[in-house]
Amino acid sequence: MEQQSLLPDLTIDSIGAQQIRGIASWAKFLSIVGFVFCGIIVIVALFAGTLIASLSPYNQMGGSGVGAMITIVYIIFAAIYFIPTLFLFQSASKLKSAISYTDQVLLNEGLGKLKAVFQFWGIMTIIILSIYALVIIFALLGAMMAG
Amino acid sequence: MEDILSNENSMLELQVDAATADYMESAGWWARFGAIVCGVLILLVVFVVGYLFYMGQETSMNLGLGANNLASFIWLAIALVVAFCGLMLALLVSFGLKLKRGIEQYDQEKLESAFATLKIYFIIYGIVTIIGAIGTLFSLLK
Repeated sequence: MEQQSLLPDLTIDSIGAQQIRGIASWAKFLSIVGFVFCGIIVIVALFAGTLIASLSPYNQMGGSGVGAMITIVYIIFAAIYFIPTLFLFQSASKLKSAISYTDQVLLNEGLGKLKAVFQFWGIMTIIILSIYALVIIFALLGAMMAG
Repeated sequence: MEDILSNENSMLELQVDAATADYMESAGWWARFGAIVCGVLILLVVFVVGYLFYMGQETSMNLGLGANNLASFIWLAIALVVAFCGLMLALLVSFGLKLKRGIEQYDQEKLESAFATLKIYFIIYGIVTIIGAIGTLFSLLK
């Protein structure tokens, strides 16, 4: 019941709607570019793996293993990049529809997906920072042990 | 009469209800948080790269004018990337802050300004993506 309560004087008026429509258009464009980028990464992953596996110096040292490893790493990268791109696309579609049909539910869903985009990148950045911290700690430990 | 007109208007407009405000606040919080953490990450990377580059430069001081030009070019490139990232992160932080204040103070102008800031962020991101895609296409065609 409380969820439906309105905040005083706050609406998405024509100016706000225009801004949200602009956000949705550019977000949709960026998400489509993101999908294309993901596709390119997957294609590169498949070809890079095959290419490295076929190179003779690597082939003698288990090149197929290196190729498969590169393919897997690239595909994981593409999968990670695909998630926020999908959220962004869903957000853009829902926000656009919400403005066009004046649909409150779609507006909330669109904003929820926008939140998910920022949440995803925030968490990913923390993970990357943690990996950096671990690398630095292990490097320092290694240096101390070597010294 | 005015009340009736206002009610009719609000029926045609999207409202900021508790759920909408919650999603907006969360989006703004994560945008600010991500931007600040990302800023720290970029500063860390720039510091490490700059330090390694500076040390490399110190050890090869007598490489001649060509090396100095290359060093200046790399420093300029780093400065441009940092400036661009700084602008984008500042836009995200600004979006988050305006959204938060807009909801907390029931300020319609701040709410609209927050959306305008996010739009600018996406426009710059989109234009840079287009330039990057064209650049990549040209480099592939060469």
